[in-house]
Amino acid sequence: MRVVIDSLASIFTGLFTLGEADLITIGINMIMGLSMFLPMTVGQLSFGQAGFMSIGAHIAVVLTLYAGVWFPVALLLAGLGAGLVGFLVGVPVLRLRGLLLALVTFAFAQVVEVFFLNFTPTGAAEGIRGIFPYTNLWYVFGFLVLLIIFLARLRHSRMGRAFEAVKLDETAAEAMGVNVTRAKLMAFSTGAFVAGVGGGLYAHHAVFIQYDNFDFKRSVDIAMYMVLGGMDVFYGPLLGAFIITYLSTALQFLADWRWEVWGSIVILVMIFRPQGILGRDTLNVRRWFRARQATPA
Amino acid sequence: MLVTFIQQVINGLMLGGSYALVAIGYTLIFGVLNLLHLAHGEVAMIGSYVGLTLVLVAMSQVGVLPVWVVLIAAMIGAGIVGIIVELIAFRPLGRKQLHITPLITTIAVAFVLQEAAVKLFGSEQRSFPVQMFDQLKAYDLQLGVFRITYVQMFIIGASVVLMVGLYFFVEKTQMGKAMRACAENTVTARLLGVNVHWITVWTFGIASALAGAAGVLIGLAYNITPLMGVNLGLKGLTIMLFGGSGNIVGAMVAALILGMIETMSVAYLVPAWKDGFAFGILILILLYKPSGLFGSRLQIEAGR
Repeated sequence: MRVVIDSLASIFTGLFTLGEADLITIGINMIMGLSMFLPMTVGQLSFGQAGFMSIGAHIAVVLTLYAGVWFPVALLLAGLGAGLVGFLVGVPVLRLRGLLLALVTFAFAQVVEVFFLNFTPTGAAEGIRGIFPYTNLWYVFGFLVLLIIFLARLRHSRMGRAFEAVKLDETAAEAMGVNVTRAKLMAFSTGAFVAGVGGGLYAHHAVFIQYDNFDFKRSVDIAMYMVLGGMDVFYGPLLGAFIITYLSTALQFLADWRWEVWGSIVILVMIFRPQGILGRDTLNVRRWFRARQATPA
Repeated sequence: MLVTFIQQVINGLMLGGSYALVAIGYTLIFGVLNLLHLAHGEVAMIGSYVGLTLVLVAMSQVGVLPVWVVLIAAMIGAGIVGIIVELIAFRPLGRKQLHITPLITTIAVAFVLQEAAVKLFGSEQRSFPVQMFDQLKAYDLQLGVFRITYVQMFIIGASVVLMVGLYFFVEKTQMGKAMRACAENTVTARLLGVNVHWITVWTFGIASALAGAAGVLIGLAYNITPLMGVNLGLKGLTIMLFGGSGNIVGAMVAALILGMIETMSVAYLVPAWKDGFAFGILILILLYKPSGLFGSRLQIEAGR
């Protein structure tokens, strides 16, 4: 009993003793969660964000390590590179919807993994060592703040409303004069851009990257951030990324049973809140005190 | 040259037959429930460990078991695991979920099963004991220069028998008819008196039993690791899409093709790019022929 209480308390007190490295990891994961959220704003489920992350990471590392490019510029170029690939992949792929899109993006990430496994200029299976540790809190959270401002403003912009319309009903959106293809491509390649920058930040934090840093499990992790936190609002993935990243270190005391506990948490959340922890109205405080009406589902 | 080629063809048939069993399970679950069951490969992995454990226990108690007993035991074990997965990760979600929710819960189940296997059986590679193969050596066929081992014949034979059996089950029996009705339209099927919950449980049970069989067959031919399910699941998924989702015969043919391609590409092409080819093919199919090679029997453009 004593042990249980102590460890539960340590989960709480641990919040105040997070080191810089932990915060950077949490920040990067939040960025990755948002990169998956962006395609979701037009209702596209992209299951291969790890692929774009991998591309961004490799571009950024090659630029800083071999070309001596200034780090922020390298990050920008990494994002643009990943975004370009996202655009090129998006053109044929975004005709698909739902599960099929999830599968094709997932397969894309696998192909990227095999590509870097065999691509000798970036060390093939060996990976790249000795990357400069440029990433610090300023870069990570600076980018995150920019991203949050962008997403918060997007919601009420013309483009954001177009995204929303596409998400709810493509045919109706088309009929209202929204260019559906353009909206989807914008959202998808912006997501790829964000994932690319996130990859660059990750590489300069981990100082060693290898093709299998960006594997199936990474894609699943990123998807979990969004699905667990909530996929209707941009702060959902932020919360999801924080909870998952933090708990995976805080649950160390469970040691052997971490995955079992973890799996049951995920399943329980999915049963009771299939839209994620944070929904559209969860943080609307006034709603909590309003008399309960028959709300549309 | 010719001898190695024919040996490769036999290997391809073995691999294709085992893949087909996994893919048919996928197809059943996807067809009847329109759900992707991402822990299906892990269920197959559990099946092969059930078989292995049984063999090892029996060897210390009574002696070497016949292979078909092991196969049936593994099928029952995997079937039970599959039904438990349904009760835990699908049933409570209800029918009105987003399509991503069951995806996430089954991934969670997959990780839990992998961890459980590591804990129960260890993370190292295992294989069926040599004594078992020694006893079966007597039945090997020697045709001139070719040698077809009993295990190879058993793998191919068992997968053919199971596939034919399943085909008749789905096409000819009452239960199979009910399954096809659910695949067509769940609401109508319920209105016509089909017990949809019961059918769901059975679908999971049968699909998982086939996966368990595939696990044992793969274990006989290669080896068993807690991570073998990942590869098996991905291959099953590719084959299902390749053959046309919901199309059982399509899955069988596609599995044979993919098994052949895989063994041939390992033998004659660049092995490192093997998975790249497989997933490249998958992307092309999804883009240009999402209904698969042999046509889908279902409306698979799953909305939201």
